[in-house]
Amino acid sequence: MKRFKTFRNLLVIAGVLAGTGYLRMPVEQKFTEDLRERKIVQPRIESDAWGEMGQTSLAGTFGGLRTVMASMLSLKAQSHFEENEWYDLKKDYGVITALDPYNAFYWSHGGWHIGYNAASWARSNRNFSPARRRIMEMEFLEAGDEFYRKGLKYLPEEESLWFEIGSMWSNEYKRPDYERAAQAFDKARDSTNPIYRRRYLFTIARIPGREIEAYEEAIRLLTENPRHLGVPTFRCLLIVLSTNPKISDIEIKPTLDGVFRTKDKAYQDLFNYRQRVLDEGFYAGDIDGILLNLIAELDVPDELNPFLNPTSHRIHTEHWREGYERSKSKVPDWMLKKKEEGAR
Amino acid sequence: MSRPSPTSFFSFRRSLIIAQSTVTQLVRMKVFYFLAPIALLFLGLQFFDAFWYEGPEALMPEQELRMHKNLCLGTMMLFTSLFAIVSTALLIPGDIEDRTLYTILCKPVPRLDYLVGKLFGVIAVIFIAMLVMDVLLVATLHFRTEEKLIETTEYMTKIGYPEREIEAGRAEIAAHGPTLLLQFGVISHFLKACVIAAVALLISTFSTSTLFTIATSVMIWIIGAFQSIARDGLFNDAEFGDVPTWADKIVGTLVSLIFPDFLLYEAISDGAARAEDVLAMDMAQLGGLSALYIGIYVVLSWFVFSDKEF
Repeated sequence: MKRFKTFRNLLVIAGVLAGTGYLRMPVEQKFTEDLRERKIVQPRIESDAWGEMGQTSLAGTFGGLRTVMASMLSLKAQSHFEENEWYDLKKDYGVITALDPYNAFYWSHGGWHIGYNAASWARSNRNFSPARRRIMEMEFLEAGDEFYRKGLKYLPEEESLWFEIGSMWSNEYKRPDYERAAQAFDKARDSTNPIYRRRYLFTIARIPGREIEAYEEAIRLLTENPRHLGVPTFRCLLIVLSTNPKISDIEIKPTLDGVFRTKDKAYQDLFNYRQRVLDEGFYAGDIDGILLNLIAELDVPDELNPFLNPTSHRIHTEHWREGYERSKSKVPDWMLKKKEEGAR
Repeated sequence: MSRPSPTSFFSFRRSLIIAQSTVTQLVRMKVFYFLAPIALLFLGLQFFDAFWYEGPEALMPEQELRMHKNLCLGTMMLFTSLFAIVSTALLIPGDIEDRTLYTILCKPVPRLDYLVGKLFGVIAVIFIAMLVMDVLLVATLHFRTEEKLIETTEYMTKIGYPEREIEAGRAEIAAHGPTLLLQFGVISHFLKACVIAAVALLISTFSTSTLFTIATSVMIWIIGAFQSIARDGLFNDAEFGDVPTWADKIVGTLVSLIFPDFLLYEAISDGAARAEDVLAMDMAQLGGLSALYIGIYVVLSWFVFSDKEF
């Protein structure tokens, strides 16, 4: 009798649960889909991430502690970073982002570790041959790029990840690939962040053959917000790109007076820009011609003339003339006299 | 001779009296002592800085606050869920062991009142514990948010950010502080613990051992976290991979029909911790679903318990 009762009870429980389950299932599904659409429900953990998870992560995931486990694992990943254990770190970030894929910080931080730190480690590791170092560095750079792009699949609106990809490929201390960088910066071109908006221009201005496009981009930026003129590189590019002979003369071109507040400011910025042309491959245009005109007009001392006194230093103030005079006055008089005599 | 008044089918008052005695019973088990290590953990987190947050260039205040919330909410969820299972599993066998059950049931107390009273008692204790943990969370998070606001404002002012951007940055940090949205996350964990307690109550009505009740409830808790995967497979074939086999479909159907969906609770809580747009409507839906789960499990518990012989 007791056994019958138990069997009957279990049967009734199963029947009621199945019946009510049948009714509530569509409600649960609709609610889940609504939350998923709004990115409140985390996406399913990918099959390859299951294999990479340790016992603790699995237990945490089963217990509904995905984001907590992601936080804990990110601390563990930090120790791999300190020990230069890059492959373990990459594996950890694969799991972290599988657990909490809607957290942009993990994508940004993981990509930075792989694309920047691991790549730099490979580049400077003397235990490997130069060829091996290069292969490893490229491997990490590609892995970093792939990692950022994976993050963008989950967070397509996260412009900062495009910016990170672009910054990685335009970093002159790595393996710059300006075309790839420009492709990434192009995605953040219409960002609300003015820094992100300008980087596309700054990158294509370094790619030979894209100068006209760069000029058009500079004009577009200037038209939408004149505050871009507050940035020295932007000011210089506007002037230098307009010296491109391929640009039609019909177009209204910016003038030095319109772009820079004073001629002294123009000289400071353009002097520094010339260094970027030499060091970083920015578009040269007629920078030398403009500088020579300014040197004549402002009577620039020889010490600050880059054609007579080549230097890698930058001019740090608009009031460079006063600065120069002050430094000159620091030289003892007898030395100046001797110098003048010598000159005679 | 006056006839004894008939006992009503269900009395809320009687259930409350049983709930009151259940709370006393649980408090005597010193359950609130567990709050001391939790308080220490929450306070400790207040001073915990991950290495990469050092230095102004690595200023990530939102992530730091998010981590604080994740760890606190995770601890709250773990504590309340385990507490719901263990305390419910211990109650009926405990009453049988010390013979309290016989003194209650020999009086005109319907068994439904007894079960509902027991469940209310457990839920009341969970509520008190949750309230204490919530106060701790809000207090620690408030201080941490204030600290981050000051740090960030100082840093942004020093760098020369315009006032508008400083305000935007502050608003972003404040959104990760102790907001109403965060309370949605706390409520979501509370509702989950209530459902788990109801599940444990159902199992304890036909189980013959406490250990079995605890183990089975924990299994249901775990399977509940994956119920939505099985259900998705039924509604959307592609989610299962290539082509779902018959075995997949049968298992998926059984899991979806029988087990509650705990992923929804996690999702709302995670969303609240991420400061996503969790709406009051979502909470109402979750509350409704929880009431449905609890109702089903209580009715089933009553069905099993009503003719149980002791």
